[in-house]
Amino acid sequence: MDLDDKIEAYLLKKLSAAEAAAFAGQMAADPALKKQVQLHRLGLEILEAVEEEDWRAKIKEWEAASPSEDLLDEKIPSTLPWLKIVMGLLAGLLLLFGINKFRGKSPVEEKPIPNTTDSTALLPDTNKASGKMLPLKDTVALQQPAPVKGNTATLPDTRKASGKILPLKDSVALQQPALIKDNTTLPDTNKAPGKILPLKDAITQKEQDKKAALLAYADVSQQAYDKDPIYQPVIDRNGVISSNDELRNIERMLDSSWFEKALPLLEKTTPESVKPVQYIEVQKMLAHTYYKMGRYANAAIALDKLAQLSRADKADAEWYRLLCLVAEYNKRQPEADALLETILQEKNHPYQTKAIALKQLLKR
Amino acid sequence: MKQHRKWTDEEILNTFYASVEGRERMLYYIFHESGWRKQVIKFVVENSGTMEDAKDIMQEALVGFLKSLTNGKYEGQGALQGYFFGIAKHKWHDELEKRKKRVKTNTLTDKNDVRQNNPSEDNADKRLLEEDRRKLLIEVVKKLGYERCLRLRLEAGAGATGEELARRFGFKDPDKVKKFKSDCWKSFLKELENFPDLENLLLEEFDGLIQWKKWT
Repeated sequence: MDLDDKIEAYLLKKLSAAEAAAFAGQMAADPALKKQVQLHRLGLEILEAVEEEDWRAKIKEWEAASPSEDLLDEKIPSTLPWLKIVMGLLAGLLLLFGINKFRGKSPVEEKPIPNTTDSTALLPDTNKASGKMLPLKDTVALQQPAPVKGNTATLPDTRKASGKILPLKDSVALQQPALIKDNTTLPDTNKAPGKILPLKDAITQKEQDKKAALLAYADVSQQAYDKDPIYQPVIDRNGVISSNDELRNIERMLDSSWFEKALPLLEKTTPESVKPVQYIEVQKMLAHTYYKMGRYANAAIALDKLAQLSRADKADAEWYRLLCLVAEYNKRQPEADALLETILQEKNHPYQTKAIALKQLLKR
Repeated sequence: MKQHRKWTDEEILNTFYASVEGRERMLYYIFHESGWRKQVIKFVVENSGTMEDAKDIMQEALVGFLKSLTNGKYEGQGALQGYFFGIAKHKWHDELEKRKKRVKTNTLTDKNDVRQNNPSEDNADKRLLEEDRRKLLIEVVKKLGYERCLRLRLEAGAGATGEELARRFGFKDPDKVKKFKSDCWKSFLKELENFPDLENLLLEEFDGLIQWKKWT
């Protein structure tokens, strides 16, 4: 062990207690040695600082690409919490004002509801008549006018219909049935002071079904894919990839599902930079990476290329291309159906049995 | 959000100690896939912090965690997630202390009184000084121009083989890597010795505790 190694071992606490004590003694007696140790320590500290700087840069880069705000269910304002309080107070005041308005009117306007079929006695539904959606507070105000001259009938007070006072928001909701049923004309109730329905609840059943179908197709595709993916990382010292360090490195990344890191390396690999047989493997890796990242259209393109490069891989390329199309079946159904039929009709296609099963699944 | 497979503590540590890529991969896993980031952000935000505070604490906690792994401070004491979260909580506690102290400092005329009265509140100050020092050291590297040498040494320290280092740093012969590593380090230390502000950079050792001169 030369002096440099010994100094480093001392600083990294790799010496035994006795060796460390002896070395400290030497240092105390020799100022030049002490200076050397100090320099080494500074050098190691600089190394740490460089590494730390790299980590921080990486974290900042990731933070910029994937904002933390997305992680929380609700956005949390980083500033002006008082604004939230003031808005809350205002909303409360408006609500109180609304309730008082209803209560104040009731004794005066409380008249028996006429048992009549005279439609002229009823107030027009101002909300529909104008053909234009009014803010909710305005529609409430329009439906609660001062008593109409010469008209014995007033708008039925739905809050009292059941003999029980309903909360304001419920009474408004009762007076707005058409609005709630038809989401295409639903005003942005979130902006109105008396919040009725969150917009997300107004998503139609049709849209939900569409989303569920999309997920189901992707699920069908992924289940079939994961059983037997086009590329399975095999860290094999004697394999096609082993002779190329860069490809072996990429293979390690894929082995640990680090697709985001592997993708740019795969994308920049050209036919000239690797052997032809390796380039075919690169196409499989690329298709696998795209597929795993949910970029099915790109995966399908890589598979097309694979089919052109290698006749031996044509059947594989077709099957996995089909899975890519099925993952986006809503958008690419005709293409997927055509390819499925091609596979089914081709004699001795290695994926015929799987294709039959897939067809049945899609029918369901 | 896409669900990722949870790594075991063993996988996390093995990936970290495998190579430089392994370190980055592990960092990526913790940041993006583990759910630890969400836990830290939620904690800070729910304990009177803002989103900006949460981001800072996440970064500090990650760096602290990685340092614990590199210098062997973590010796398997409990699950890694708990250990990491402990670091984050500690960092946030320090930050809150620093803020409290800042308020007190504004009300006192003699700043020294604060330090004398509250010696336990110096952690936050220490962190600031450490940050200053790190920036200063990076400046030194930039001035001296030994980045390649230092990176090679870092990668060697992270477990890269001679062949890997030769490929990455453009050496035809892996044997030359070893010689370069030793020679450039010696040369770097020599340059440091002649650095004009060396006295300000050197650390002092008192009773086994290493301290920065500026701090003492």
